[in-house]
Amino acid sequence: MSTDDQKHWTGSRIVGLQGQELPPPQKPRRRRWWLWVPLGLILLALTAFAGVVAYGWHLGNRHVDSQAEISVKDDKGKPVAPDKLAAANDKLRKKLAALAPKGQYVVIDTANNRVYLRDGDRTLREMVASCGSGNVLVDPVGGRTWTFDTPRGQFQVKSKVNNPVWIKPDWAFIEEGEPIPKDPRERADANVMGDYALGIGNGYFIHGTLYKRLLGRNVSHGCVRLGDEDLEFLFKTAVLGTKVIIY
Amino acid sequence: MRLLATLLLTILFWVPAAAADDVAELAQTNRLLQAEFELAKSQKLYFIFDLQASEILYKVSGVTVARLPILSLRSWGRPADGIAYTLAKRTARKEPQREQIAIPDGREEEKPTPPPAPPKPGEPPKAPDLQALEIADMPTEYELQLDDGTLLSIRSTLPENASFQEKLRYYKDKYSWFISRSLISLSQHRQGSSYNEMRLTLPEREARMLYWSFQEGGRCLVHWP
Repeated sequence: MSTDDQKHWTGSRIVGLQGQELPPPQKPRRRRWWLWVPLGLILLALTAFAGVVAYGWHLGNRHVDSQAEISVKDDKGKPVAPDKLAAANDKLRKKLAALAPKGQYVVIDTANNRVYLRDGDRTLREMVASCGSGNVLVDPVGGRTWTFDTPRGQFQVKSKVNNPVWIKPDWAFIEEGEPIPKDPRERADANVMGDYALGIGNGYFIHGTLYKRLLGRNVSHGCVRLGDEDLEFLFKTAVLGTKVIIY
Repeated sequence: MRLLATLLLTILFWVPAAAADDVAELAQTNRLLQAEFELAKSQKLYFIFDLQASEILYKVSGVTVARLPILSLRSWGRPADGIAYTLAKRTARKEPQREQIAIPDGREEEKPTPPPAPPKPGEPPKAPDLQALEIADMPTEYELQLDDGTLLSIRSTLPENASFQEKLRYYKDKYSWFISRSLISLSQHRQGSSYNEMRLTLPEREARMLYWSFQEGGRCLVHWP
């Protein structure tokens, strides 16, 4: 930088009466008070929202503690004494236990395609099965509809058949696109149900299958299919009247 | 001396409080057993949401035929104890659909189905897809509305291979729980009713199993902790 340049620059500075250098005058500060307004509003809104949430929380949880005040009252409206309550609970447990199936019973899990032979709380045998496919068949001529679900609930073994013959219902022909025969003898098929069948009512059976590789999958028309060994075991174990629980 | 007095006072106040808890527990058990006895007599399947033992029991005639573990529980409000509820409505984001069987025409030639693609190395072989409604088709996220309006929200744990969207929805759902439930409670309060919800997290397969088994019209009991 040249000496002339320095002089020119020095000339632009403010110099005091005695030659001392003074700081440049500061611009008056502008008060930005209006910036606090939205900030305050936001804070207010957040506080209000927190209040609403807290009130909602209170409403949602105010009944929780009151449940501890549950009591059982006798015929005269007086609370039952603890020892009597304990005795009543034991009696109810015994009544519940008395409703349980006596002896061995069959449990069928349609979701996992499993059949269990049980006695009380013990599982004696677990078997792989095929339960209903859940598919729907609509008769294009008559408009009839079938849903191929395995029924759920409590049933019992109503019949036991050696070398069962399947009397094919209408849907079996419709599904194959075949005409429904007029002669009932044409409905009989002796080769599809395996060596044994256990009837549980409403035309549903626990029987064998030709499609053993599909055991464990939901492929049946509502009946419960089992492999040969399991079927033979169940057939020989379950007596007429054995409870069958399906879920 | 002062210590002895403190001990005596503590025992004096603590013993009646503990006795009251016992009575409340006995009373709760009594109501539940009475309600269960009525359900068991029907010989139909019923469910017990035992939140004390963190499990769901499938029962028929008082016998437990299956049990599902509850991994975690969140509850909002509290429905009445010892009442048998009926499942009024079951809703899922993606409801499973039944397939209609295609009837062969007889005139059409059957098209050969292509063989399934071999699994990629390191990937477990998939079970062949059948035309059937199976447990894998059941949802893992759904709502079960009981007849008194209580909502049972069923969720499953986030799978390891969850997509970004699934993760986002999972965490949004998880962390907005208190705010959204508070607002719903407030809105219900204005309409003169209360809002009760239980959110149960189950393992994936068990969540599907519950959807499969607990159908509309099914009965259940809730055993609160």
